[in-house]
Amino acid sequence: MKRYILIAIGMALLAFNSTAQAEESADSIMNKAHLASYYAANDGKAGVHMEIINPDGATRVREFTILRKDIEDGGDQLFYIYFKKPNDVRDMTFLVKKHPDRDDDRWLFIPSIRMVKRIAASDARAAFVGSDYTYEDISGRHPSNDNAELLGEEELDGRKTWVVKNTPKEELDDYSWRKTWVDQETHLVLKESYFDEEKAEVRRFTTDEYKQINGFWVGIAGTMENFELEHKTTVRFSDVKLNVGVPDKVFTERSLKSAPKKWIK
Amino acid sequence: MKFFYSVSRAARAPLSLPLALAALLFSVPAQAAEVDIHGYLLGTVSSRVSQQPLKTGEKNNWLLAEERLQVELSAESDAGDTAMVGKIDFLNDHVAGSAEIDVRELYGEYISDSFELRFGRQMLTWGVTDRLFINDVFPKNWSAFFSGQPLEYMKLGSDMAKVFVFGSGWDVELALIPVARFDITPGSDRFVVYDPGFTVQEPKRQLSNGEIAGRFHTAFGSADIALYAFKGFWHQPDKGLSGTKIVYPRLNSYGFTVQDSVLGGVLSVEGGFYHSVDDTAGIDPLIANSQYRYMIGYERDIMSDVTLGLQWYGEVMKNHGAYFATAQAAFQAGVGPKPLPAHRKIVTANLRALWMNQTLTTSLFFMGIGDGGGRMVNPDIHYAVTDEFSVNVGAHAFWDGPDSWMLGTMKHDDNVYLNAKWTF
Repeated sequence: MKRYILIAIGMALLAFNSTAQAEESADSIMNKAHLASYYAANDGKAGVHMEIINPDGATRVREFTILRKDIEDGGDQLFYIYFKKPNDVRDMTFLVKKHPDRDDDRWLFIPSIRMVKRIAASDARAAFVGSDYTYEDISGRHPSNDNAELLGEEELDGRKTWVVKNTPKEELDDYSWRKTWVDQETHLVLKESYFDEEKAEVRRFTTDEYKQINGFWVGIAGTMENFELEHKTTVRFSDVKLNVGVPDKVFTERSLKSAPKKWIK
Repeated sequence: MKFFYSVSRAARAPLSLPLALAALLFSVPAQAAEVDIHGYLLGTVSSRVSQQPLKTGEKNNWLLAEERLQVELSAESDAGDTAMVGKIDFLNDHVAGSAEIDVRELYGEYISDSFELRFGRQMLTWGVTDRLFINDVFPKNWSAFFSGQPLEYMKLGSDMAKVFVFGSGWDVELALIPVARFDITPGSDRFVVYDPGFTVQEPKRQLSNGEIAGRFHTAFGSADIALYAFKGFWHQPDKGLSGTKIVYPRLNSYGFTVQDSVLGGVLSVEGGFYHSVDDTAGIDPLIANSQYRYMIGYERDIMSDVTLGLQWYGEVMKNHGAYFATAQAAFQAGVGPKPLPAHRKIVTANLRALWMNQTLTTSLFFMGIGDGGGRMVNPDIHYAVTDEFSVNVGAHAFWDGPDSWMLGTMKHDDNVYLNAKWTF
C-alpha cells in the first residue's frame, strides 16, 4: 500500500514540476553516454598508448593492453591490464573487479618477486598510472553519482550534441561540476569541462578521434588536460576489438601471475 | 627471523647443475621465435654512519658499493607454449673487491590451458604480510634489505621444479626444491652485529633433504583465501646441543591467509603453525621450538595518493617453559643468546605517499619488536627522473634491543643509501 502512495506522490510531483521532464531526459542522456563509453559490446580488447606531458613538454609514456568484460550493462565489469612500458613496470599486471555500488576490488602483480598484492581502492579520484586521468575516468563514473541537468543543444565541430551539467551528489576535492557534450548520434562524450566553485575551468577532456568498430562507436583518441597544473595526457587506442569472447579465466589470479599471451599481444 | 647467528658467507648459492641443465634442455625445442632483451644498470652505495669499528677490528663503513648489470633474456616458441627466461646480474662489488655473477632467475617453462611447469631458479612470494613472513617459506636476503638495496633483492630465487595448476575458481602451486637455499643475514664482515663465529653446516645434498612447498588458492565472495603447507628446514640456523657447528633444523609448516576489501581498505589475516621437527618436545634449548605465527594487517588510502599500512604480528612459542629454563642458564653463562619470550610481538607501520604525478614516492617504514626487542625506522625517497632513469635515497636507524636479537643486533649499523637505476 505504501508503495502505491509513494508512486502517486511521485507522479503528482512530476506533473507539477516543469523541470522534472528535462532532468529525466538529462539522466537518460548520461546513462546512454555511460553505456556507449564504457559498456560497448559485451567485451573488448585494446592496445593503449598514453603520453603524459608536463609543462616543460617532457613526456612519459605508458603502454599497456586492456581487456574488458561486462557482467551487466551499466553494472559490474572486469578489467585486466598488462603493462608493456615503461621498463620498470614491464610485465606488471593489474586486475580490477568494478562494482558501481561499492568499492572495486583491485590486484597488482609485481613480476620481479612474483607477488600478487591486493590494493586498496576507496579513492576513485586518484590518478591512474600517474596520468591526468583518474581511475574513475578510465573505468567510468556511474551517472547515479551525479545530478544531471540538460542545459540545451549545441553544435560541436559539426556534430549535434546535448549539453548536460553534472553536479556530483557528494562534494569532491578536485572539481565542483562538469559540463558534458554528448554526441546525439553516437552517444559518445565529445568534450567534458570540469569547473571549480569559481566557475574556472580546471580540467578538460576531449575525444580527438572516434570510429565505428563491429557496429559500435568507439572513441579511439582522447586528451585530458589539467589547467591548474598545465599538465596533460593523451591516449590513443590501437587494435580495438569488440565481442571477441574474452574468457572469464583471464580475470583471475592465475592470469595475473601467468599473463594470457594470446590475449595481450 | 631472529638473527641469533649470522650467515653471510653462503650468500650466493651456485645454480644447481641438474636444474640448470633441465632449464636449458627445456628451451632447446622452443625454436625461439621472439627473443627479448631487457635489463638495467644499478649503482648502489650504502654506508654505516657510526664510527664503531667492525667486530673484526676493521674500520670499514661501507655496507655496499657496487654496480650491477642485470640482463634479462626471454625467448618464446612460436606457439607460445614454451619459453626460457634468464635474469642474470653481473656484479662489481667494491667492498669485497670482487666481480661476481648472481643468477637471480633462470628457468624454462611449459604452459598449457590447465597447468604450467617451470624448471630452474625462480622467485616465489606467498602470503599477505609486508616484510614479515609466515607462509612465505622461500629464502630472504636480510642483508640486502637492511643495507638499502631495492626491495626485490630481499627475495632470493630457489632452484625448483614448480607446477602451477588452475581450475575454475581455484589454483594450486607446488614447488619441489631439491637443494634448500637459506636466508642471508647481516654478517660481521660488513655489519657490527652479534656473531659468535660458528661454522654453519648446511644439510647434505641428498634427495631426502629436499624441500616441498604447496599453496592452494580460491575465492570466497570477494575474499581471497589460501592454504599452505611446507616440509623442509628453518631458513635461519640454530646451534644444536652438540659442538661448535650451527645447523638448519627441520621444519614443517602449515598455514592460511585471508584477504578482502573492508571499509575502503584491504584487511589481511595470516596464520601458520611451525612444527620444529627436530625438537618437537621443546627440550633442546638451542633448537627453535615449534611456534604459532599470526599477522593481522590493514591498509588503506588516508587521502589521495597517501596510503597507510599497519601490521600486528606475533610468534607464540610452544613449550616455552622447557626452553626458557635452559636457554636462560646458557645466556647467563655467556654461551647463548638472550632467550625469546613466550609471545613475541612485532608491529609495523608503512606510510607511503605519491607526489608529482606519481613520479616521486616517499615512504616511512617503522618496525618495533615487543619486550624491548628493538626498533627500526626506514625513510625512503624514490624519484623517477625519466621513464628510464630513477634515483632512490634512504636511511635505516635502529635502536633498543638486546645484542643477540634481530634489530637489537643492528644498533651500530644505522646507514644511509643511494640507488641509481637506468633501465633498458
